[in-house]
Amino acid sequence: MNRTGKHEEIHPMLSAYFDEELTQADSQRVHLHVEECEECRSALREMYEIQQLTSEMKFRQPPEAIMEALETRISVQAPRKMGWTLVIAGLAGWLLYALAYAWKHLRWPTMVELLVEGTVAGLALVFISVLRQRLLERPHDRYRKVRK
Amino acid sequence: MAVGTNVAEQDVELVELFHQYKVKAFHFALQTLGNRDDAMDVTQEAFLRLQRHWRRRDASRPFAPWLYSVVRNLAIDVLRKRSTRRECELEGAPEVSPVPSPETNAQRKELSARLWAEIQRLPEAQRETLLLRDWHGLSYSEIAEVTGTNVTTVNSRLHDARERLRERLRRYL
Ligand SMILES: [Zn+2]
Repeated sequence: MNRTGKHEEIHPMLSAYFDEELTQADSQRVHLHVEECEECRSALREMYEIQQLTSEMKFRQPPEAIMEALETRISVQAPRKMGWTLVIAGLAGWLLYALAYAWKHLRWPTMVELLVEGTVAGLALVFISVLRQRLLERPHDRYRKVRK
Repeated sequence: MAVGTNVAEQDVELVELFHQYKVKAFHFALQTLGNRDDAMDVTQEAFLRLQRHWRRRDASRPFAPWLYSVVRNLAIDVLRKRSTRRECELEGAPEVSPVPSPETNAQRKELSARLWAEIQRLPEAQRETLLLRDWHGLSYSEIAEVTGTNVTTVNSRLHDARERLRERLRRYL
């Protein structure tokens, strides 16, 4: 009786053994069997060859221009979203402050001044974000012209 | 303020992951679809979808299986639409065939081409599992998550795929 397990029983576990996906106990059993089974050893060697060859395969690269445009879409969203969040929060804050101030003092010109300042600050933030996007998109546009 | 900063940080993380995985995602789509334009469409849609769901995602889940499963689902949609007119025979399609690097010797090039042809001939589930393991380097549990199955099935698909490839290629290995 073979204490390391029968070939028929061990052989189906070779693939998982090769990938180190067996429990330690099973892995040990396979290991002991492999040491004395030439057929399983060559199966492992062939699996290794197949894996090497497969992982060496190189595939064509993605279309650069489209990938760049996608990158712009993904990276621009972040500051844009933050910009809008800040603008809205800022405007709401200013508005509340101005209303409270006006309520207390009933001096309309001051309130209008405050609102104007708030709006200008908000627009400035959006402007900066748009500017940033333009700068990020510029190399892509240039590339597109070259292609056409 | 805190909310704004948080959003920015999360999105920066997505941008980093985009850099890390964009080519892998494209190649997985290409291997599934066999067509560069479709593969790029799927890659684009996948990242935009991830971006839309970014803040509602389960951050404890690793990123790669999530991305791969989104790519896979979108690719399956494309294949379904395409199935009526099977326009792109995978086997031998020049767009998918691997490009051997210049330093590879002739014998190895030939072996690689032979292997790729045999991989293409595998049943779909086996081919996908083999590529996710041996080309993309995913673990069994990650592959199970991506393909919507369990580790036992992944294990047996891989075993079958390798048995078949070994049988077909034994005399060249
Ligand atoms: Zn054996």
